[in-house]
Amino acid sequence: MTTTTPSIERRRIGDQLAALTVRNLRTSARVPQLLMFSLTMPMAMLVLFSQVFRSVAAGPGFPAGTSYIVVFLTPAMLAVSTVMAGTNAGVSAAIDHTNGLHDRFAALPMRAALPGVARTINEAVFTLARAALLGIAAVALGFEFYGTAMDAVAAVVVLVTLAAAMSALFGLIGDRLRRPDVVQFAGMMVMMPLMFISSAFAPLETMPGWMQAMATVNPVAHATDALRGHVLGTATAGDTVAALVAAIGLWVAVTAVPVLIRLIRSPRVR
Amino acid sequence: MSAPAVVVEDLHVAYGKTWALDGVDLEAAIGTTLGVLGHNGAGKTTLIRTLTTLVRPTIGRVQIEGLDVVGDAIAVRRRIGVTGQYAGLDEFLTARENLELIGRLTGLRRTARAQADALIDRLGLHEYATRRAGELSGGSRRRIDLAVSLVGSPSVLFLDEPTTGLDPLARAGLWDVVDELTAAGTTVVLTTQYLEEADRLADHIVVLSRGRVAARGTPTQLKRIVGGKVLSATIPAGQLADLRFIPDANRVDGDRARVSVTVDDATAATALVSDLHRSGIEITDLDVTSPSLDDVFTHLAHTPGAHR
Repeated sequence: MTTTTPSIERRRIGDQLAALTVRNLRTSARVPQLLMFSLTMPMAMLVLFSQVFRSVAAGPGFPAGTSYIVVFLTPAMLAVSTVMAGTNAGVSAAIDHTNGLHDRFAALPMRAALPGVARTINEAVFTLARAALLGIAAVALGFEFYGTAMDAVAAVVVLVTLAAAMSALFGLIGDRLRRPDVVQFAGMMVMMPLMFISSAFAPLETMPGWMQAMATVNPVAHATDALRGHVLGTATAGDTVAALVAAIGLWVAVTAVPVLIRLIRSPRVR
Repeated sequence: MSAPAVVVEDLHVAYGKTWALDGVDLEAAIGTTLGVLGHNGAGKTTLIRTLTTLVRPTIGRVQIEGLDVVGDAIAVRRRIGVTGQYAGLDEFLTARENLELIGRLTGLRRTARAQADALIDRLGLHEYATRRAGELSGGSRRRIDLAVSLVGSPSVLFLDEPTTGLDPLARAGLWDVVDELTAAGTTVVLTTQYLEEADRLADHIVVLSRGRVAARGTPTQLKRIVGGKVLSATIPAGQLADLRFIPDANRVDGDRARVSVTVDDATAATALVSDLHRSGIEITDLDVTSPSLDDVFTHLAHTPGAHR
């Protein structure tokens, strides 16, 4: 049996991850329609929702100024579009199953988690690109950033962590369901509660008690609150930590599922 | 004699309450081709998936070059190449990019590009090198898939129905590649539904039926299971009813019928032809051949479990 030193093993894993990441980025770039819709979707949503919610902004209790609704909605659009784009990770995982690539990877001398990690890096890159484009659109609509440079950094960390958790969640769904069309529908079922049981579109205080309870473990709810706080300059360290813990908690839970399934399904008798 | 490259002992694989493999034993010697035959659902693909570490044995032991497929899975994967039933390619990457990707995942690093080019040369894939896999025909993708399975120069190669969808020329090309590989010491385990392919490539054959070994041996040994000679004759279709024997098979094509019957030996075949002649049967074409693997397969389908 061959043995390798930890440094050689680390270098090999690094090479494999780099190869898989380049493959994912290259594949994403070669589907221009997906690229275009994925990157511009949050911009379109921001324009649409800022018009729809104009009446809310005009109501009592909302700060004055027509552009404040844009400030209020932009962090929500960032969080929501990250969830929606996460389904891409699920679909691409399912496509790897249908075209036999999943089995080919599984039969290679490679850690089973690496394709998922590469998908996560891919999602993180596209999340940042979407955020940049959304930022440009938001500024054009009157967006202003009230936080500090640290707030901006913290917001990026929160957003990327949320993207990683969503990539892992939808990647697991893709790996389990193995059909892109089914994954898209299942993704909708998962996406809806994540998006709507949060303060993205309405204050949590106005929701029924059970929804408020669910929001306490919803990483999208925590991410929306933290992002909004960082944009307004009102976020506390607790807001940021809660958002990171919720996203990392979901990531750990999702990553643990395949490991547990493997352990349960190892009835090797002999 | 060196240890076998592939050893399977008492292999059982269960999917829920169904036993896909139910006590399979087999071996493949180094540098030989083992053909695995069987009807749909016989357990061929489950066997290949178990041998390639994709499915864990429920019971039993599987070793590749002395390494256990469960305990030493990563080491096993360094030694094997796999072509599955579906071309495992990224359809948005070109043939060269697919080969390079697998090369880097196999650990080739800087030599991945050179090996990709070498495989493109060896398998004559130049016209696909810069085209995305998704734009190619199924047969072309199968050829690239075979090239991908050779990245890293595996010492044991698993081919699961590799020529399905290939035209005769491409199929013959793949057979030549398998010949070259075994001549260079690579062990090949091949599943196929084309008996001609197993006859052409396999040194030994295992016939699976319902997850069990129904028969095993060299192609010649298996043909002896049927025994004797196969006499095939073309006669007027209108004279089919006049035959004094029931043919093993007959095919009517217009006013002609092609009938086949198994007889003990060449002497019996001659006697049967004389008998047909005396009966006034007009024979327009006549072949006396040894049984093919098709005959073995048909025979085993009627007598399962009799030749293990």
